[in-house]
Amino acid sequence: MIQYFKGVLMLTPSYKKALGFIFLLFSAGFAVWYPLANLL
Amino acid sequence: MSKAKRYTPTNNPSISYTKGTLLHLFLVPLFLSVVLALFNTNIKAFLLNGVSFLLFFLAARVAQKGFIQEGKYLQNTFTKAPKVPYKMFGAYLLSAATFFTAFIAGEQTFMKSAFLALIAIVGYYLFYGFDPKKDKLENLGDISAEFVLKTINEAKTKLSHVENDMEKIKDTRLYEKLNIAVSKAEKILQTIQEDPKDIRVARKFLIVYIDGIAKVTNAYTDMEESEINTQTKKKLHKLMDDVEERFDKELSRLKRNNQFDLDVHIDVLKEQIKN
Repeated sequence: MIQYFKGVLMLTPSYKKALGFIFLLFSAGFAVWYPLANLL
Repeated sequence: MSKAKRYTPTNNPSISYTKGTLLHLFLVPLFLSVVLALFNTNIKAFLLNGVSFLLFFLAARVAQKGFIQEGKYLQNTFTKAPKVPYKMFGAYLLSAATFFTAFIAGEQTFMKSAFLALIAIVGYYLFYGFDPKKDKLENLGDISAEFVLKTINEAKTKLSHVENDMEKIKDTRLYEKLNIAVSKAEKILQTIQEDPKDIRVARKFLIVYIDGIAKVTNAYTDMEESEINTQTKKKLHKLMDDVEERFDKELSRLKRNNQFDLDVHIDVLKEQIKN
């Protein structure tokens, strides 16, 4: 697991960015829809 | 009077203020949920969604402050690392906002919310990174880096005062001359930043000349331009010509100094190779 994260951190900047973008979109970007879904 | 506006190009490379747009996009669904809760007169949902919105908004603002701070750090060749780690605070706030929105406002399970909060902070780190930590201050021998930084920052502040005063000047010839002087002064400052040891050579420029220009422009703008007689204006134009000439000399002196440094290094290496 640690080895995996080390690998992620050592990725080239563009891959790191792309992965970060996906992580952000599917975490915070996901959470913001829950309150709206509850109201609909 | 003409409505044409004066074109004032900036010499410094611009800092991207668009970084962090994604964080602002997260506000859209939350805003909609606040509005919808209001229409449904669901007070509890309105309050909780409102808190979520505010938390995300705060995270985006703090992160943006960090991005601007980082932009300035990257722009300068001789500077200290930011004192307050706004980017990191932004990451913590985003994580907290994600957890609150999922767990309390979104009524999801604790584990799911905590997982999303964790992924959000990892994603933020990978996408934006954290604040720069390393001071960009090289070893300057007998001069203290703090002193150099302080002197350069003071000179920059004075130059920005001059630029602000310039906006009030209607005399286009004087404006042009001041514009040239300011851009040359900025070039000199940039040269000093690239090789801070030059501060020994350019001390007079930093302390006397920039201060002098700031005082002159300040005194000029304090008066009504129509009240200043032609003779004084002529004197001022002549002075600005002299300033321009002086700045050119200063710039070439700095370049010569760098040339001298290079010659010394070449000679030293030559000697070392011989032995």
